[in-house]
Amino acid sequence: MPETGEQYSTVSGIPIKDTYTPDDVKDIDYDRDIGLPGEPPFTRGVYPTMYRGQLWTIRRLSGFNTPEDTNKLYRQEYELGQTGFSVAPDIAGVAGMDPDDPRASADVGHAGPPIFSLEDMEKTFEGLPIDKVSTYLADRGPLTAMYFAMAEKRGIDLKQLRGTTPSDLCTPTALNIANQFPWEAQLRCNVDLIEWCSEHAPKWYPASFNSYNPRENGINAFQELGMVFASAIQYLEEEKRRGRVPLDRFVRRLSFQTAVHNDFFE
Amino acid sequence: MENKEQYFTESGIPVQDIYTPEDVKDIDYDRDIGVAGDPPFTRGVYPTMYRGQLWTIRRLTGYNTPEDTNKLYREEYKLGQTGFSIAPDITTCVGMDADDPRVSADVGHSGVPLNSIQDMEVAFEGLPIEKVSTYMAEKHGILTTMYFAMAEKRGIDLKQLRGTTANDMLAWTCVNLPRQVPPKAYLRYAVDHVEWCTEVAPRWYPVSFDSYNARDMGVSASEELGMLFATAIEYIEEEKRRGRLPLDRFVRRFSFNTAAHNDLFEEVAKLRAARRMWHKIIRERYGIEDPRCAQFRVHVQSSGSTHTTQEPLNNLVRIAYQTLAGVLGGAQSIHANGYDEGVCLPTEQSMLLSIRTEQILQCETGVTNTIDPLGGSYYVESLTNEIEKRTWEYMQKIEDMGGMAEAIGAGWIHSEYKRASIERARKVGSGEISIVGVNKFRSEKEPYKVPIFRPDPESPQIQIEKLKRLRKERDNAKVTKALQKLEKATHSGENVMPATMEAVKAYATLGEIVDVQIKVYGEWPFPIGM
Amino acid sequence: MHNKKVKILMAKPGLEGHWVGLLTVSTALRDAGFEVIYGGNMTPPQIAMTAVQEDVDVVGLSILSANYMLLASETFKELRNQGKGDVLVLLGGIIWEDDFPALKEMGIAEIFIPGTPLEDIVKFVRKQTSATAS
Repeated sequence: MPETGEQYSTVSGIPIKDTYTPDDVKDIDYDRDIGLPGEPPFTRGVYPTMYRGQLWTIRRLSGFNTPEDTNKLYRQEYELGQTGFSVAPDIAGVAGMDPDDPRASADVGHAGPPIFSLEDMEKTFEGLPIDKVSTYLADRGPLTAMYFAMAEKRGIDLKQLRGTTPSDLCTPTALNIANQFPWEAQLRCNVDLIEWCSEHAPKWYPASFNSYNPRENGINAFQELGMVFASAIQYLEEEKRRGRVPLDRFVRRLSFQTAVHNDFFE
Repeated sequence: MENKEQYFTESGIPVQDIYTPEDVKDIDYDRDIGVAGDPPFTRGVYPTMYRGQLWTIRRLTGYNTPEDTNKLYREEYKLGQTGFSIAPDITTCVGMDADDPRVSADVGHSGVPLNSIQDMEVAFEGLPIEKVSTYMAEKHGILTTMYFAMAEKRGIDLKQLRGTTANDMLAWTCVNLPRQVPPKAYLRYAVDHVEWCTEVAPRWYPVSFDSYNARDMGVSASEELGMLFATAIEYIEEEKRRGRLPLDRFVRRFSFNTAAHNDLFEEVAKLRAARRMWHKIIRERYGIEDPRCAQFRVHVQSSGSTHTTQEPLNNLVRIAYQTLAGVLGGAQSIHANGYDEGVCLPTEQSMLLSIRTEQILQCETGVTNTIDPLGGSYYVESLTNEIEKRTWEYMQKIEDMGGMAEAIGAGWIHSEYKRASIERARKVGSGEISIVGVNKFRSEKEPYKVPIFRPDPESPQIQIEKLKRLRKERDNAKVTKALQKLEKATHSGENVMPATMEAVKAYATLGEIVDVQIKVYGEWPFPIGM
Repeated sequence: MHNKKVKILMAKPGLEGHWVGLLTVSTALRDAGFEVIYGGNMTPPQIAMTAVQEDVDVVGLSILSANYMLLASETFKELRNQGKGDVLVLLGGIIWEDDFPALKEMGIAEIFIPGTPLEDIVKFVRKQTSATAS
């Protein structure tokens, strides 16, 4: 049957040929461009054994109603075999507003639980083994501080604590979140956190450059990657300017977060 | 540090941590991989594959009565299914009519009862069989003659009619059903059917060698392919012996039917290996030059044996991955099971989801945008080679026994199933094979319920009444004469299909026709015990 | 204490022909030391007749089609007619949970759905048959 489509392309607009053969990859130098996992250039994977050594973390961004209800949910997820926690605060919390803020009213407790103090953080994580399991906090700083304070109260050494704070500039561009301060100020706070963690919580990921929301807004796969790398570079440049932490320590615990879209091979 | 000492595919092929150019350095691209639509066909049977034509969404279905089944087919067609596939009930599978006193409890179960051309006409009423192809999950042609007779009545030229008869002797080794004729007799009927269709319905696929059930019994991917090809070879050898048709005409419309099991890359590699092997069998073993005779056209069905009764919604995910494997493997037609396969016949909801599973793959994932997208992967090419190697070895075992019919007759195939299923049960029991929700991450109690399909208890009686009426209203003298003619043809060794067609047109029932088979050949006892 | 080995008839009532489950469980029971008569597909009257002839202690039924209520009740009827109404009857296969109470009421001692570890079935049979033996 002759082909039906005029021109085939990926979701992101990359043209696709009917078939790919050794000719299409003849300029690839295996050792230079592909290599082995766990070794530069890391094309095949960040770790040498990948899933044969350790499976990926099953980590669902979740939370609802109240810290108490969220705690029940986390316990259930953990029992079902989830291997990491991920906190999604409510809409008011994302805007950095307390529940009694008159601007917040209808948005308190929606799309997540309100966590506005150390007490709420403790209720959310009551009985959960945060010394063993890592937590992602969809936060711009205060929640991370609450989490660390909670850990200290439990006698956990911050130097062993594992988890992630996004500290990400892209997400606020993709969503119109109220109560934002200028991006330069956000950058300042985020880089402060990275510097501090590199000293006090060296196993924490103090940044996770996040292209998920921008991708959901309709940009394509290479625009998505372009944005996260441009963000990461911005932070590196800021630390270079500051000169407070050697760059290799600064970048050591930077991580990323992307969407997984429809076009399977893309 | 790796978690396990050794890693294997589901079929036991050792898996390295990584595959590199080293692992494929002996592959000659043009000789071993090539281009889709050209020998050796590794990358696909057609030059444009899904860019030219998407695979057929074809669900094997049927339930209650021909009337209810007709409603279901109309519904599926409206939802976007692109081919029909008829699942006869258990009683039809054993060739008993609904009013046979031996079958009461089984009428209308696991499929639709089809006792005469009348039932066939009801099942397909208002459906465009001149446009849409139909798969008949039947032994050797009786239901197909009913379908052909129906088509003729509608004025459709049989030479244009498209569809498939299963007509495969391997599948029937997997179920202990009464009224089976001995394997050599089965082969006779099967080859008669292929010869006849080649003449009267050249666009029909008169056989679809079927390893689906064998795979469900627990055999490995290469054992599955080995059994499949050994069966096809048996048919060709029988025609060679008869010498009635040139072999290239005989094999021209051969097709295949396999399972899509859990190990995604293994399943893709299996289909690629199958294409290359079939080409070699046709070209090298039988010297047939026409490349169209060497195309491994395959229908793939997600493996029911992997679908659990516990947490049935998990099966949706399993089915999606298995269907993806079929697509990446280049199947021509796919049946995605209902997620409730481990529980009941599909409900409307699960039927809808099955069709949507395939449509999402076709319309949203982009996996159809290029041909054989995994071709060139060091892992997939290595696996393809390994599966081919192991399959040839397995085929040699069957060859050494005298071929497939002998292997079945001696009970060897059945003992393979016994070995494989006991081994699988052991591995599930020990946790070597993980089944999420069953022996891994098992919930204390079932976390939810799904809607259950229950067959209509009135259906058997409806069918029985219909049969009583038919037996009264038809020309019984004509039927008797036709059945006698059929018996004579069976004894004489000539092709039985014309006589079968005549009997069917006279409104002989399925049970009556199978009675003739049993009369001539006797019933073959199922060769499995403790 | 009974010296006689516990005898189990394993069968599939009706026509539905997927035999692998029945054979796998039969093999496990035989390996556990029970005397197993593998009946394969049998009609309910044949099951009852064999149960009487072999004087079995247990009848194990495997049904994978949706007509298990009908087939189970026919089998019980035949067992009772032939004087084996008190034999221990077990059911394996694709059985919907909601039907368990009705089946147990009918007289099925226990139901084993796919995924049941084989040793659980063996343990159950052992427990039930030693209880009646002593």
